[in-house]
Amino acid sequence: MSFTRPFNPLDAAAEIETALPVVKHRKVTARLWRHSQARIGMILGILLLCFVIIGPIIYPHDPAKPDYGNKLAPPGSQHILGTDQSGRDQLARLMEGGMRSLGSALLVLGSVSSAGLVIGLIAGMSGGWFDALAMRLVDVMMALPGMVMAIAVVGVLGPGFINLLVALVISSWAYYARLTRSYVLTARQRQDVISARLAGIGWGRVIFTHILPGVLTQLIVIVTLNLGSMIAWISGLSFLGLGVQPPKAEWGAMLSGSRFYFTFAPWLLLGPAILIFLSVISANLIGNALRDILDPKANE
Amino acid sequence: MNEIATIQYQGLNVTYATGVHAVRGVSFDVRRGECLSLVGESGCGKTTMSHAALGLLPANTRLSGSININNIDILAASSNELRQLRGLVAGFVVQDPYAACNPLARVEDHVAEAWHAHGMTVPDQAVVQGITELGIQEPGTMIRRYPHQWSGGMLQRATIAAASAHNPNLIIADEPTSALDADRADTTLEALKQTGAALLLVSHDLAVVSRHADRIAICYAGKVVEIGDSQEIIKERRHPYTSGLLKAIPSLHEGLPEPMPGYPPDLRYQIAGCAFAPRCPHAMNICLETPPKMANGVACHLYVEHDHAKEKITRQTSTKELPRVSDRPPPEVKAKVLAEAREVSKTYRQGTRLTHAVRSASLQIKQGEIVGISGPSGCGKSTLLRLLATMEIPDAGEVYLDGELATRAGSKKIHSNLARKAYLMPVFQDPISSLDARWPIWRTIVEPLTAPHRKNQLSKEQSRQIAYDLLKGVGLENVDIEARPAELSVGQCQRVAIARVLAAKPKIIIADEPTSALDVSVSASILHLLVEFIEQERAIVIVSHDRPMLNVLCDRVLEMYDGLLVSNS
Amino acid sequence: MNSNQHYERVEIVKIIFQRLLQMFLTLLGASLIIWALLPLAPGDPAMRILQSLGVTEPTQHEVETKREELGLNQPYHMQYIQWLGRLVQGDFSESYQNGKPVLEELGRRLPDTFRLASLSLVLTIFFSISLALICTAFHNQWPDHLILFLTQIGASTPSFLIGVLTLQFVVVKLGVGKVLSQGDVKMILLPALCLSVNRSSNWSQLLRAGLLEAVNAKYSLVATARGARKLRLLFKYALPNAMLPFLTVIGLGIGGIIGGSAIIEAIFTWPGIGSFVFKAITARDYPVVQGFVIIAGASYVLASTLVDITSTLLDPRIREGGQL
Repeated sequence: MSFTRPFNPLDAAAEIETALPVVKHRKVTARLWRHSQARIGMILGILLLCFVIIGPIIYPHDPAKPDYGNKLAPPGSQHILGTDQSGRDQLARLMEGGMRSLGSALLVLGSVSSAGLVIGLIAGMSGGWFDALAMRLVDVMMALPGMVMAIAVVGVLGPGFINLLVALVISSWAYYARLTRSYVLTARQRQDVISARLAGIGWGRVIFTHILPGVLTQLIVIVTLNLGSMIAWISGLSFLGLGVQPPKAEWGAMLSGSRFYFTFAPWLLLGPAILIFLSVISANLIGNALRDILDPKANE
Repeated sequence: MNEIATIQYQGLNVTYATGVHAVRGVSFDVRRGECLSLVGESGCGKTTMSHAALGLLPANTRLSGSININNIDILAASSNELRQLRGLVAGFVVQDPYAACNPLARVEDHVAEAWHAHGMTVPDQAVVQGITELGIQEPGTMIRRYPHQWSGGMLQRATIAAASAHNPNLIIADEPTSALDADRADTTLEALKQTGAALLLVSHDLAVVSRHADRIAICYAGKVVEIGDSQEIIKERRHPYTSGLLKAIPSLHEGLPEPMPGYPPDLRYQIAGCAFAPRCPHAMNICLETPPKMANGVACHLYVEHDHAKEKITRQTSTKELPRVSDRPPPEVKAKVLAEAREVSKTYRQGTRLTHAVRSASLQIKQGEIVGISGPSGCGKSTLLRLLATMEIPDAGEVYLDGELATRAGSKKIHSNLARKAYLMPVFQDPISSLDARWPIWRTIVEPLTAPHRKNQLSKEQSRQIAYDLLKGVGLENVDIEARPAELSVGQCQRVAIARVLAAKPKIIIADEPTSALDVSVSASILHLLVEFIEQERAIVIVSHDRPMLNVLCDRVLEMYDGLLVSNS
Repeated sequence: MNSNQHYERVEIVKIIFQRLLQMFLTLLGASLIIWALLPLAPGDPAMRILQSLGVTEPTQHEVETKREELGLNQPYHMQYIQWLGRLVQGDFSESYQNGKPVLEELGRRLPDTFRLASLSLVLTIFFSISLALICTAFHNQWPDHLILFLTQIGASTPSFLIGVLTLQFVVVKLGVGKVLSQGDVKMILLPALCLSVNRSSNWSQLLRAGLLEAVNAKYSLVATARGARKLRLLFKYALPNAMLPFLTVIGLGIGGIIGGSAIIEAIFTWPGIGSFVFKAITARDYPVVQGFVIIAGASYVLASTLVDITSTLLDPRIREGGQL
């Protein structure tokens, strides 16, 4: 077995404490593009977005129109990916379903992270009763695993796409609030913040210029890292019939509907399966790269 | 027989995978029972040289030349041969004893690691004996404890016991004292010498090393530039770099330390002549063309007869007279009090444990004076500074700024407006984290000028111009004002931090260990920047563990111990 | 020596006590949330129960009596305390679907779920540790790259997707195993594997990073300089140090396994509480959903507390407090 001490670039950096600045790409997008895995992830992501946004515009079939005479048609010239159990065009349904799967994942993450940001920021900056109250609530919310919490909320609200999204929001905002708060608490003690305060800059401006940019960077990394699992949750719970109700299209629900026809029409299963996989891997690749690039520990 | 070298370096070259040519042809040896110290500033390759001796460099590092220990060439040795040397023939000690110990293993296991690692049984009492020999009495129960339960000084002695447990011929010690307080450093080095092994001591601290090492090798840019008897090196200062280094060290130099101009070269590129030539006050034409050869213990063209061009290079040197402490008029006795702490105390609570960081300390800062506060680590000196700067509220007592109440116990309010109007500005120990990592440095520098109470309306162009002028004032005219802190060296970041302070024009600078993260030549220039700031109506408070530095710099130095401000000298 | 050991033991007992207290408070908080969720359900609870009992058009009077009986006219805090009291006594109320006690219904299915979740946990831990060790031992060589590639794919395939694909391709197409496993113990391996692929991929990447950090740490360099072999470095130094933070990951991940096993159960028609609760959700059987959430939540809190206490006991830095 061969075993090599992994090369640590920081060792070398300590050796060249020279004056010459290392020329770096300052723009995050440029650095992401240079990261080969992120590049794959970004290309995939752009293609998927094109598929769900531009696709329905140029592809003529109506995803909701059943054609009972043409059920489970194999892929062909008329229906590129064939038709499903009700004779609806599979490709058009994949496009419409993708819009629902990806769009809702982004929507949920967008709302939980902004809710978490606001609550965490206020709690971290104000301290006092609001902080105590908010953090106890966060503790309680995080006492239950996210999936169980989501099942609980869908369980009482009843199955349905909106209910599912509400459940996911309720079960995941607390994490973002806690993250933001702990960042703010550390940032308040940061030396650049202390310097600014002593120099006469008010808290309001310090928050906007010194603290918020860092919080946002961190949140963007976490949101991207969680995007994959959010897509998986939404399609997974829809797969179980808790989310999108038929006849509306959604990748997880389509997967669920098509598995009974697997022996005659395996393509119906593969389409949504592949798309779910590609979306999750795209988000994961970008997320991991973002973390590598923006993580203050890795970036020093 | 005493002249036989225990370890012999011959033409060692080391290039890292990043292309950094960290060691560029180094030859020296350490004889039996001798202590040789490799001294130099960060980036000079001294650590690389020492790690190479035990084959500890990353696998993708390119090495050439040879290092001989016991007639085995380390660079050619098989991994088994290397393993036989490690621990048994050569011991190894590093800077931070806590980092050097696996936190999950007991101290006795660390001491016995060399036996365990080689599959030997640990001789009875060997561990206890090893530790007792280094001056820890009755280690019986202590060694069953974990590293975090030991104090730094004791643990460092335990790691020395671990390195010397097998009575090795050679001990390689990489900065063994720099994580310790000054008085601990001497006893630790004595303990290392007691082991009787040949000692290869890597250090940045010429002052400490000169008291213990038999010989010193001064390293610069991956080369040994001067080597010889330690007392002679200190006395004769033959190489210009040695001389510059010595002038920058407060305890070895009369008066305020003198900074060295310029920066070390980038070792990713080839260096044609002498690496020090661009910074050397005596540089000649030949220095830029031919690398000097080591002769009589010094590698410098000044000491070699050349038949051709030896004329000195004329260059624009800064003609600015260096300020000296003695030149400064003494602060007036009746000078106005700028800041005052009255009987302040601060206690931190961690679980059920209380730490009395500051106990009823009183301190006045008057116009025109530089006040130093010194003391061992954990004595509360930084807390006192933060209390004075109104960064924290005292548990007892009050702080006054310009005669106005600023903070007092029992009130979270900052009472004086001055406290948040750049009356005081801080300089911190870690310069990189004192700047916002996202901001270009010009923005950091002009930030104090944008404070609302100044009512400035600065356009971006004006701001950048101001920042550029200030950067020039702190000797950074060549630095891109758009640079982010991570693109600068530690010393440059500290200069940027000082430029920010100068922009704010505070009455008092609050400096917490402003030089301890920096190399000596850099820290000398930082001290100069601080001294230049002082004018009749201003003051500096500086906290440091470096007593000699405070002695030359300050008008008065206060000693702090265990939260108490003890003496007033 | 003796007094020292005594001192240690007191510390440990204190820490464990603190963790248990913390667990108790967490459980209390969780119960509050679970209780507070139920009123969110559409419709009047008294009406719901009457309807489930077969009274399709209850009179005003019947509804009022039921409300009184359920304690719905009392102040909220009293309702909570009564609810909690019944819970502690094991009264989880009755299922709307068949009128049987919820605890009994869930208890019958719990062993199957426990088997599936615990086997999956064991598999996940086994896979992630072995993969991470291989990666670290062959850092930057082909086994490392291969495992990184595979785990990247594994981490991007949700469990339910793996479950569906496995069921269709392996079970239906190749005829390995049965479509309706019905709790057959021999059939447990497939669902358990499906449940662990995604998580072992994630965890092995995390543990790999931890191991590399430990291998790069100064103490590993010093150990090498003392003559330690690579294997000793890996097992004696890197693994214990990387395992401590990894234990926290495991503790938090147990929640994911509980949720994930519910989905896998539904796919493989494994007769555990997971597949049961999804039927209950569709049937709007609130008491069953609530019972599931209570049991799943409590097991999670219990399991993560256990992991937390274990890691405390294993870490001398916490176990044996500050400096002497």
